[in-house]
Parts: sequence; structure tokens; C-alpha cells
Amino acid sequence: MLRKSTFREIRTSLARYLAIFAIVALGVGFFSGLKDCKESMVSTARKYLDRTNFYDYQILSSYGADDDSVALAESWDEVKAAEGSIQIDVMARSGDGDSRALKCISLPDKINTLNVVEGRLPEASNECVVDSYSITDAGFRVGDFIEITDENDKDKLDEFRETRFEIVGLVNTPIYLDYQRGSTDIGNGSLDTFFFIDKDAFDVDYYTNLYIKLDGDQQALSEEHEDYLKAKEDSMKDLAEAVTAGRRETAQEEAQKELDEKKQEYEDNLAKYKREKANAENKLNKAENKINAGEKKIKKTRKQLNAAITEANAGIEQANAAIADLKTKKAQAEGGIEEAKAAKEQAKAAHEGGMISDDEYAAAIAQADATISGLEGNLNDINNGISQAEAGLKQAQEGLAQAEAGLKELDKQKNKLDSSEKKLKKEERKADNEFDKAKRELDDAKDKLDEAQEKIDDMEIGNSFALSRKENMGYSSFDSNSSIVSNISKIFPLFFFLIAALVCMTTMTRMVDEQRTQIGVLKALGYSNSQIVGKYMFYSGSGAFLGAVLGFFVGCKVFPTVIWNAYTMMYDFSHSVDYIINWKLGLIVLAVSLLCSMGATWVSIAADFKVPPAELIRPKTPPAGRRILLERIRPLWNRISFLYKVSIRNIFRDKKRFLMMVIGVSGCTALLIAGIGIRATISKIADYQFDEISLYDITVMFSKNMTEDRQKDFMEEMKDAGVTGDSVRFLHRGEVTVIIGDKTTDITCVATEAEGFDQFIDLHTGDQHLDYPGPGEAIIVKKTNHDYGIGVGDEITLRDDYREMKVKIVGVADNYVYDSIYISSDTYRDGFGMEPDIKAAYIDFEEGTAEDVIRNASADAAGYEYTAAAQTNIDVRENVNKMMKSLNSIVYVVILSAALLAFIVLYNLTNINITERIREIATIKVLGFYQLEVSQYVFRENLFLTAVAAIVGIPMGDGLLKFVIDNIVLSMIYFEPRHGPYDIPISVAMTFVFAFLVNIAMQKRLRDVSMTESLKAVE
Amino acid sequence: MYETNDPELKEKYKALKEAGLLDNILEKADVPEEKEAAAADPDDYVVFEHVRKVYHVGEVDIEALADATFSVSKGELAIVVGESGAGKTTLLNILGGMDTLTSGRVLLDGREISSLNTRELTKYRRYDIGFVFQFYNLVQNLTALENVSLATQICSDPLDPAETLKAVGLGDRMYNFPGQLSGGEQQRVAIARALAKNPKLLLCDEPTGALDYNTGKQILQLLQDQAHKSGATVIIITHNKAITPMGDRVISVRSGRVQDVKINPHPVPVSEIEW
Repeated sequence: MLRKSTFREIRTSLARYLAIFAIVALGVGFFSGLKDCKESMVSTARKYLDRTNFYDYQILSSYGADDDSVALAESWDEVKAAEGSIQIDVMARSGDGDSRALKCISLPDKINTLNVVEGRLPEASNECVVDSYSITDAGFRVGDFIEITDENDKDKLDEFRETRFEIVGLVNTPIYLDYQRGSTDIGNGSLDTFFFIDKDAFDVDYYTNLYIKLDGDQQALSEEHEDYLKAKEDSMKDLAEAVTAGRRETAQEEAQKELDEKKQEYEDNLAKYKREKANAENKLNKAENKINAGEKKIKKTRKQLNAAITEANAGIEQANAAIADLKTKKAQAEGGIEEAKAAKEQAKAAHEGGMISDDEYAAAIAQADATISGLEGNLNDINNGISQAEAGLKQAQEGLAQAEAGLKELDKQKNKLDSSEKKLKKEERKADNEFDKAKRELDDAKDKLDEAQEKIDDMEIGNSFALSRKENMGYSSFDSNSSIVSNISKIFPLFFFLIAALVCMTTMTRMVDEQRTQIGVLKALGYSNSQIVGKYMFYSGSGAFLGAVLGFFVGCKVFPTVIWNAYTMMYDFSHSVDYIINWKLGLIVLAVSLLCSMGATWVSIAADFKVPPAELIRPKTPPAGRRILLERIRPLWNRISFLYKVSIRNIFRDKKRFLMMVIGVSGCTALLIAGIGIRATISKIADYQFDEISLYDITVMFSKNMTEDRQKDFMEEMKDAGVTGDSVRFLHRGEVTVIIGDKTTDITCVATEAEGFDQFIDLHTGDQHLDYPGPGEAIIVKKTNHDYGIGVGDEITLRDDYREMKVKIVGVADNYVYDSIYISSDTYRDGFGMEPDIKAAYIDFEEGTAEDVIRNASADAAGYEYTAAAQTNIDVRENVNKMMKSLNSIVYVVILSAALLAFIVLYNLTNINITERIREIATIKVLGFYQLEVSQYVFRENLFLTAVAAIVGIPMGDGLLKFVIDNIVLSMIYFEPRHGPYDIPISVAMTFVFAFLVNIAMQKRLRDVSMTESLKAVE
Repeated sequence: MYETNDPELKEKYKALKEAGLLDNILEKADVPEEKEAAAADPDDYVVFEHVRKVYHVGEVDIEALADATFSVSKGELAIVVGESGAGKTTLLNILGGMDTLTSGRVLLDGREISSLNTRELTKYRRYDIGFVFQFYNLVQNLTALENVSLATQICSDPLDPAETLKAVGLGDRMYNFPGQLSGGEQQRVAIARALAKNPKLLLCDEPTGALDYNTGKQILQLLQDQAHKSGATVIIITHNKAITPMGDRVISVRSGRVQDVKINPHPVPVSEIEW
């Protein structure tokens, strides 16, 4: 019977039952829904990451990687799998479209596998699949072609076997979990999208990235996994170094081989040179020898000829002399003969003359005859001699003529020889020149070879990086985002839950109060306390149970879905979120709901058991009217119009209702303020940072210390981009360990000169400008201040490797994105005892500079030979903004829920109010109050209570916002609770709007209050 | 703009307007229109003509009033008496402007109230009816005086609340809350609240139903005095036949019909009645 009564009770007071049901459903839904959000998001991502086998570590080496590296990695401790990937950024276009910067990636096999959204994976090397997310323009659809354009460097083009690819599918990849496609050093500096092609379509023999999958089977995005990754970091770094070392060796060997070939070539050339030179020299020498020999011969011949001439001349002379001599002798002989003849004559004469005897004559004649005959013999001889001499002369003359002719001939020959010698000399010079040239070339080659050899010998150790998946932009942004969701879900739902419990409690208290008589009757009829309690327990408990069950399942489904939908703006990998049912949470929530509703019931009902049933049956003495405090302020009270007095007194008479209403409605206002505040705080963070603090536009990180010369080079390079001297600040920017008591943290330390720094970063706290710190001083940012509780006047220790220094904090600067500590270069120098290396630069453009200009400058800066990275604040800002935009959805959910909550609270309370005062309302209706007056009579209180609650709600909302924001701990980002200028008025106004809406909804209920109620007996 | 279909009034209106007196009159014209119709027969101050009221409860029609016809004169104390379910509450509801009727006519002071719409009915309750409930229906967190004021606030021509309270003998309890008053005192406040509206008709629903004998008698005396000394028209609805001698007119109701209307030329003072 009692059960029947219970069910009938539910039917007749359906509004109340529904109120319990609804508020519990809402509270539970909100609580478990938001609590469930992170889990759902994480589970969704986890499934995707597991399915695609997302990497644990990525090994990057300045030498790249190869199959040996893969083999090495696979043999490494705790490495489950390793895969190399080729990733090359190219300019490409589709159809007539603009060319864009695309990342071209080799198709993965086992790690970071692709999720095909549309179409299929490439099967031929001239096919590709593209990013399903960032294709927004026509021309990147299945069936279109991607063409690598000619504007790429030739070297780059050489890296591809194919340059035209048919798009056969759309995919997403875990490497790009979110929408960010990263930066590049081509095009305008930012990547538009990516596409995957077969490894064979590349013409390279190395991998750019080496992905590692570890043995650890911890769940992705869990703390355990994070710890695991951290624990493996050293091992992975070692692997990275080993890979680099291996690659270096290979590179060295390859280079050596190549060099050796070249060396051989050189040697060959050298030998050939030598050979040829020797040949040439030989030939020349021979020719010269021949000339020399000719000359010698000519000389000799000339000498001979000259001797012959001399001889001939001497012969002639001699012959002439001999002839003359002979002629003289002839004359003498002829004279002798004459004399002898004369003598004979004389003798004859004499003989005749006889002077002389015959004998004497005869003897004289004989003597004369003998002389004559002797002389005549001599004359003969002389004549012979003359003719002989003349013959000799002739001969000598002939010889002379011959010799002279010979000499002439010789001269001719000599001339010929001379000209050939000249020719030879010329040839020799020419040959010398040529050989010199060849020699020089060979020497150059030799130098180059030596240099190359040196290079090989001194080949850089190379940079090795082991980056965990946490360093993947998409992965870490997902991690942060899901954390924000979970942080927000920490306090809000609790608040909701409290209000739900409160509503439950009031409702049940009211019900028990109303049914006092019935309870008395039941007791009088002999029902046991527990039976009676059971009835009400069942009433509230079943309402709460149904509400909790519905709320839980709907909440767990709806909240993650709604929030996920917002996040799909950033994350493309899944369009539906996992529907996670956390049974433990469900049970807890159910238990708490039941405890709240049934506990409230018990508390309300227990009081009634103390009184005897007889008294219960009688109507409860209505609470006596009392004067309120305000009435004692006569001047004020007297001024208030009568009906307002009634309302005011009503409000303050029922303290429970007052409190309930104020708590419930102020809670709603507070939720709205906090919800809208979160939006103001979070969504504008990038604007705050980049409009108020980081005024520079580009950050450039360098791989080498920027000496003055390099700075000049850099500036030279940047000239075209319109970057001039005073718009660039080279500074030291490096991690330092900050030691605060026993805690340490790594913070980016900026060391520079104070002068002109304001142009790049405006250090300030609120409106208060901060001077750049002087010697021994430092300025920290709010996040450090907030996280470590250090502030102005505190002393902290900075450590850089093994050097340490103490600095005094002189300011806490507003800052939202990234954390830094600012010191002067002098402080750095004095404190660490070394020059700060200048490996960063900020570039500032005039306000209002076009985005393109800045992007181009960034790309230019990235192109400088020592630039490690260049990033524009536009990108940072866009990223932050986009991330924050997704958070809006949570805020809307909060606002919507707050509105719902407000509505339910107000509705429930107004409903209770009306039920409680139905007799009064009927009475005033009978008294002739117009409908409007009746409404005002009741709702004036509501609006007044709403006003009080709204006022109370303002500081509550502020506190709630602070609490929530404080709880959102993100690395790199600091949130400072901020209210937009209209947040509070809007929240208050919205609360009033809800109150009005409830009042409008309640109008009908008021109208329907039958006047005959006034005639009924008091229950 | 003030409008009427009565040709006589129209003429008066025209004349007044010409005389420049209209404004003055119009200010007072806020006074409910029924005042102009005050030419009814004083004997037929309250008239019920063949009133029929049928409630539809699901498929069933319940005839609460079948054919009720009676009238009450001005300044009379009329008592409607009947058993539970005889239809007297329905009668009260209709007369009090709280309910409509199915057929028939009801007039008060010559004005047909059975044809009024909701808003007019509210006005009717506001200006013409003073209601006394069985359970007083005072607003608990208003003092006696304020409870009276609650009613006078909305009237056009109310009596002074304090004076009224004094008149019902509660001059010294004016600032007490209902919770601080006895049942009889509360009912007096309720009566004062009804009276202070200066109504055409005082309707009392079992005014002694929740009171003890002596207190009940005092209350009835008060009501009788209102009729006989102050000239108010009072209708008391009760199931208690014993009190009928105090009325000037006794209307017996049974099964939704007026069974009998008795004129009592010499009502007995309440103090002489016993039950």
C-alpha cells in the first residue's frame, strides 16, 4: 500500500520529482562528463597512436641515417622496431595552382603508419597520398597531380626520381597529430601540407629521420609512459650518437674512397705530365744538340777553310816568292852563263889572245863550259822550279777560291742553323708555358686533394638528437589540451555537484515538511519509522538514482563529444571520440548522489520522528512572522512601498530558502563569470603576449656564436628583406638552471644590454614599467613567480654547467607564453666569468608591417648559413590562438551548463516557493490582485534574491576563476586570471535573464493556482 | 478615453465636457463602473437566477449547482446553509467571482457578474467583495495591520486599516504577527481585512469552522453587527444550521438547488444562539 502511495506521490508531484531527477542528472552529467572528457580524448588519441604505431623516439643526425643505422637501432636495448624515413621539403603545385612548400615523406612501413581517409595508398612510384587535413583548396584531391616545380634547387630536384605524382588517397599521420604543419626553410617559411610517396621515388641513399619504437607497453599519454620515455632518454641519446658516429664513418669512408679515386686520377695526371714533359724536353734537346753539332761543324769547317785559305794564301805567297826567287836565280844562272860565256870568250879571246894557254884555255874553256853546262842544268832546274811553283801557285789559288766558296756555303748553312735554333727556342718557351700551366693545375688539384683529405680526416663529429614523441608538436599540444580540459574539470563539476546536492536537500526538506501530516497519519496507523523513511528515501533515492544514471551516461557521451567536436578543428585523426565509461567514477557519483538526496531526506525526516504522531497530524504551527533588521531602520523602512516590504520580509523570513537561493543562483553567476573569464583569460593570451610584451616579430636561433663579422654577414643577407641595424637585436639566449631553495628548474636566460631592449620586449608588471636589470640583478616572469613562489627581493642561484652565480630579483614581469629570466650581459660575464655567446636574434618590424614581409624575412633569416631556426611570432600567435579557440568549446559548455543550472535552481526554488505559498497566492488572488500583481508579489522576491545572489556571485566567480586558472598548469604558458571589461556585467545580466525566463515559465503555474486553494483546510 | 453606450450618459458626458468639468469627473471616474448602475432594486442586491454549474471530471459531468435562484437585499445578513456537497461552496465561488457558471445569471447591485471575463472578475473581487475564509488565510509574515493593508493597498476607496482593526477590537494587537494571535483574533484580522476594502458584499466561508464555540460566537456577532449596525451586506456560508436564526434571510441549499429561502424578520442576536 505504501508503495502504491509512493508511486502515486511521484505522479502527483512530478515537477518536484523531476527537479530532483534533473538537478542530479545535470550535476552528475556535468561532473562525470567533464571528468570523462580527458579520458575519452586520451583514449581516442591512444587508439589512434596505437593503431598507427606512433614512434617513441626520433633520431636525427646531421649525417642522416641509413640501413646500417636502422640495423643498429634495431639491435639497441629495448628497441622494438626502427624505421628510416625520408623527408624533404619541396616547392610543389597542383595543376595551375600556386606552388607551395610541401613536405614530401617516404611511405612508412611499420612506424607512424598512415590512416587512409579516402582512396588508397600509393602502389607505384608516381603515385602519392596527401594530408587529408590541410587540403582545403581544389587541386589537392584524389585524382589530381602534385608536381615538384623547377624553382627547387637542382640538388633538390636530383633527390627525386619522379617529379609528378598522382594523388591516389587522402591520409592522416600521427606525426602531424594536430593542424600544425611546422616551418621550413623554403617558400614563405611555413609548410602548407605534406604528401607521401614511395621510397623508390626518391633518389637518395640516406634517411632524414629515424623513428624508434620502444619495447615499453605503457599507455600513450600516460604518466607512466612519460616516465618511461624519460628513463630511456640517455639510451636514445647514445643511440643517436652511435648512429651519427656510424654515419660519420661511412661518410668518411665514402668520401675517402671518392677522394682516393681523385687522388689516383691526380697521380695519373701527374705522371702523364711528367712523361710528356720529359718527352718534350728530350726532343728539344735533340734538336738543340743537332743545331749545336751543326754549329760546331760549321765552326770547324770554317776554321779549316780559313786555315786552307791562310795556307793557300801562304802557298801563293810562297809560290810567288819561290817564283821570284827562282826568277832571280834564273837571272843569276843566266848571268853566270853569260859570264861563263863571256869568260870563254875572254878565255877564247884570251886563248886566242892567247894570253892563256891552250891548256889554260882549254881549261878555262872547259871550266867555262863546265860552268855553263852546270848553270844551264841549274837553269833547267830553275825553270822546272818556276813552272813547278807556278803550278803550285795555281793550285794554291784554286784552293783559295775553293775555300772561299766553301766559306760562303758555310755562312748559308750557319744562317739556316740560326733560324732553326730560334724556332727551337720558341718552341721551348711554348712548351715551358704549357707545362707550367699543367703543373699549376696539378698543384691546385693537389692542394684541393690535401684539403679534402684534411676535411675527411677532421670530419665533424656531427649533431645527434634523440627527440621523444613529447617533442612532437601535435602530440604535446594534444597532451596540453587534454590536460587543460582535465584541469578545468577539476573544480567546476564539483561546484555543480554541490549545488545539485543542495537543491536535492531543499526539495526533500520541503517535501517532508509538506507531508508532515501524512507522516503523522502513517505513524498513527502504525507504520514503522523505517517504512515511512523508506517511502521518502525511495522517492528521493529513485529520483537521484535515475538522474545519476541518465546524467552519467549522457554526460559521458555528450561532453566528450561536444568538446571533441571543437577539438577536431585542431585534430584531424578521429571524427568521433571514444565513449569511455569509467565505472568507478560512475559508482562514486551514484553513491554521492544517493547519499546527498537520501541523506537530505533522512535529515529532514528524522526531525519529524521525534514528535509524537498526534502533533504531526495537526498542522505545523506556521513560523511566526518576525520583524527583520531593516525595519529597525525606520526612515528607510518607511520609505519602502508596502508591497516591497512584504517581499523583503518574505525574503528574510525563510533563511533556508534565502541561503539556498543565494547559494544556487550565486553559484550560477559565479560559474558564468568564471566560464566567461576563462575565455577572456585563455583566448586572448596570445594577444596579450604579442601586443603587450613580445613586440619583436621574428626569433632567429643560430648554430654558431655570432661574432661581429657574422653579425655583419647576417645583416648583409637580411638587407633585401628590409631589415636594418636597429631592428635586430643579437643577444644571448640559453637555458640556465635556476636554483630556488632545493628546487631547480630550467629557464631560458636572456642576457643583453639594457639599451633599446624595450623595442623588442616590453618588461612590465601591470602598468608599471620595469627597467632592465642592472649588475647582479634579474627579472623573472610571472610563471616562475607563480610556480616557485619567488618574488622581488629574493635571491636565486643561476647555474650554467658548473658555473654558478647569485642574482637578486628586482622585478616580476608579466608574461604568458614561454618563461624567461632576464639579466644584463655584464651580470652574465661577471657571474659566469665568460662572455655570453650570442646565438639568438630578435627582429622587430614596424607595427602594422604586412605578414608577408615578416614571413619572407623569416625565410631569409632561415637561409643564412648559421641559422638553426627562425620563427615568426605570427606563427606562434596563430598556434596559441588556435589552441585557445578550441578551449572556447569548454567555456561554452560551462556557460550553457551554468545557464541550465541557474534555470533548474531558480525553477526548483520558485516552484517550492509557489507550492509553499499556494494558499497565500490563492488568497491574494481572491483579494483581487491582478495577474501581474500576483506575479510581482511572488517574483519580486525572486528578482531580489537573484540580485543578492548575483552580487555574492561576483567575488565567488572571481575566486573560482582564479582557482581554475591556477590549476591549469601548462609548460611554457602562464595564465593570469583576467576579466574582460564586460564579463561581470554580462554574467550578472545573464543571471537575471535566466531569472526572468524562469519567472516567465512560472507564470502559467501561478495563473493556474486555483483560488479555491484558499478555501481548503490547512494541511 | 472614457466610453459608454448609454445615450443618457453620453449626453451628460458631452455637457460636462462643454462645461469644462469633465476632467474633474474623469479623475473620479477611476471608480469602478458598476457604481453608475447603482439604480437596482435594493431588495435584489444580490441575485441568483437559475444558476447552473457543471464540472467536467474526466468523462463524468458533475452538476454542482442544478438550479439555484435566490436574492439578497442590501444590508442584509444572509446565511447559506447546506450539507457538505450541497453546492454551497460552488455558490460561494461563483458569487465570489472565483468561478464561472455554466448557465443562469448572477447580479450584484444590478450588475451582471456572470458575464464578466477574468480580468473583470478580478476587478470585481478587488473592489466589490470582501472575503472571510474559514482558515483566515492571513499572510504569516505580515502584522495584523499589514495584512489589512495588503487588501487596502489595491482598493480605490478603502477604510483606514488601523481604524478597521480598532473597530473589530484589535486596536492593541495591530503590530502582532498572525502567529502571535489566537484563532479568533486572526479571524477578526481577516474580517477587518475584508471590511477595510469597503466592499459591496462581505462573503464569509464557514467563518467559525476553525474556531472554538465562544470565539466563533464572537466572530458571528461581529459579522451580524456589520450588517445590522454598519449596513453591510453579509453572506455567511455554513453547514451549521444552528446559527441560521441570526440571519435576516436563510437560504437552504441541497443537491445543487436552493431548497428554501426563509426571511427572518427578527433575527436573534448571536449571544442568544446556542449550538
